[in-house]
Amino acid sequence: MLGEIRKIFKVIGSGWRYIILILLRSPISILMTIVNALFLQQAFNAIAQNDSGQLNIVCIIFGVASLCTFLYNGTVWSVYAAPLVTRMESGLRDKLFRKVSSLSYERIEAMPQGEWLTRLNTDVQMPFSESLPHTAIAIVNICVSAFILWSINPAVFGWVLLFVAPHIVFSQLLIARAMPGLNKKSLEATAKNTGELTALITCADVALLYDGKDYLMKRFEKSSTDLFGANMKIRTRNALGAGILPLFGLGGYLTLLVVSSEWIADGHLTFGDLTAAFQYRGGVLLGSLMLINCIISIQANMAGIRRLNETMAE
Amino acid sequence: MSIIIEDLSFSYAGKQVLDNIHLSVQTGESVGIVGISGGGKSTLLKLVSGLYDVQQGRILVMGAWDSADRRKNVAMVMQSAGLFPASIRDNITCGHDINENDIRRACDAAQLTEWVGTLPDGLDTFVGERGGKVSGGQAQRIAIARAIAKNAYVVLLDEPTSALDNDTSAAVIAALEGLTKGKTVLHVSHRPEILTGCDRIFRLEGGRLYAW
Repeated sequence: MLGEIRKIFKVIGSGWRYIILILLRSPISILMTIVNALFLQQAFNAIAQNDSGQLNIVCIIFGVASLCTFLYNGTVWSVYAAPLVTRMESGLRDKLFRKVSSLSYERIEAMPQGEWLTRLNTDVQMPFSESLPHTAIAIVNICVSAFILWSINPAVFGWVLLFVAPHIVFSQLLIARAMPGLNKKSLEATAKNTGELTALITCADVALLYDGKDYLMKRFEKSSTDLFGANMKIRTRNALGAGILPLFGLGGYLTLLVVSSEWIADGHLTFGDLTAAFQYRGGVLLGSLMLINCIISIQANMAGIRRLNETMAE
Repeated sequence: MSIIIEDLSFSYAGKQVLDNIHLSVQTGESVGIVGISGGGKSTLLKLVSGLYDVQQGRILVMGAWDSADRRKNVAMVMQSAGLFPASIRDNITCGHDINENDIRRACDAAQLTEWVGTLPDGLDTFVGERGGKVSGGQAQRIAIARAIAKNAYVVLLDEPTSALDNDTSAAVIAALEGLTKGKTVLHVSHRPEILTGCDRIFRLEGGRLYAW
């Protein structure tokens, strides 16, 4: 998988600019998690100590920190990310178009027209999907949140891990593994559907003369139904994941609440510490969810990236 | 009369392509029309076949004035075979319920049988998108078999060999004989030598029809 990604970025060029983009975007999620966690921890501690002055200071610092995070994110997006991705995508499309144009007519004829159109329209977007930057964001969020959680209370970290681990395994088995195959079928169905649509237009004269419009329409309808079926399988898997997976999250949350109530009663943990721990738990959990979705998405996009690499290598 | 064209004029976006055309073709007669490329020959056939609606004048084909009715009475072979991305069989039948014997007969007349016999899937061989998996001559013979299978009274030929080399042309011309036998034929070409077998030949020039 990494080899294919490396290959396509070699073709595109300016891969280091994309790495800078990923590095710039990677701390965003963990920054927000830390800001929220520290705010809740300090605010609840101040409330517990009836210290309104401290609470006001905490609120002002939180406001400023949130604003800074927001400005940082917005600046990276508008000044760097959007122009870079647009430029790289159009550059790849241009290179691909030149490559396809340089192929022999025999080679172009050998594949359905829809296949070429899919490469030029859809596949070129796949290396620049949000999945790669989001993977980095998720990994940083998981690692830093887990470390802080461990330092707050190793037992809390253990409970969080107990629910996050099956969550990840379940997602991998149920969704991620099937995605590349399902996405490949969906792309093939899209290409066939485009081919049938093209025939409806290019063979319109023959269809009229030989009363073959119904025949062509039936073929187009069948390919549309096949495309619908292929896409439905992908959506069903995603929906299944979206429906079942939150159960793990909710279960972990309730368990942690029950277990930590005793620690608070014993004075081993403040309520502020617990709310901060929930934030970091959220960081681990949401980071894991994001990571799983990114892996699924990258695996799904790999079909397109592979096709691009194949074409560019011809 | 199989075809009667009266006072036919046609223009594209204000540009006159056909101007006051009069032509009558008797049943079983073969008429050739020669003219330069872009001179309106294909437009004339598209009008006769009912692919285009008449703007001015009248066209009667086997008793039908209406475009949709005219289409039922004609079979047409064009420069491009216009194959569907489907099997040879489906390209011949166009999805209609035609019995196997008639399909075989059409293949025989179009000189396809021998080649089809060499294919592992026979008539069920996929021709590719835009006929990409078959040669130009084979594609054109499939188009001829399709026209034969329609068994129309009138056959319209729009330079069916113009895109082929000499050897391939000879095979397609032989196939065309199977299609045009006993039919009313209107054949257009920019090469007069192609039309030597026609009973009458006309020249289309400046949108008007003249005797050759």
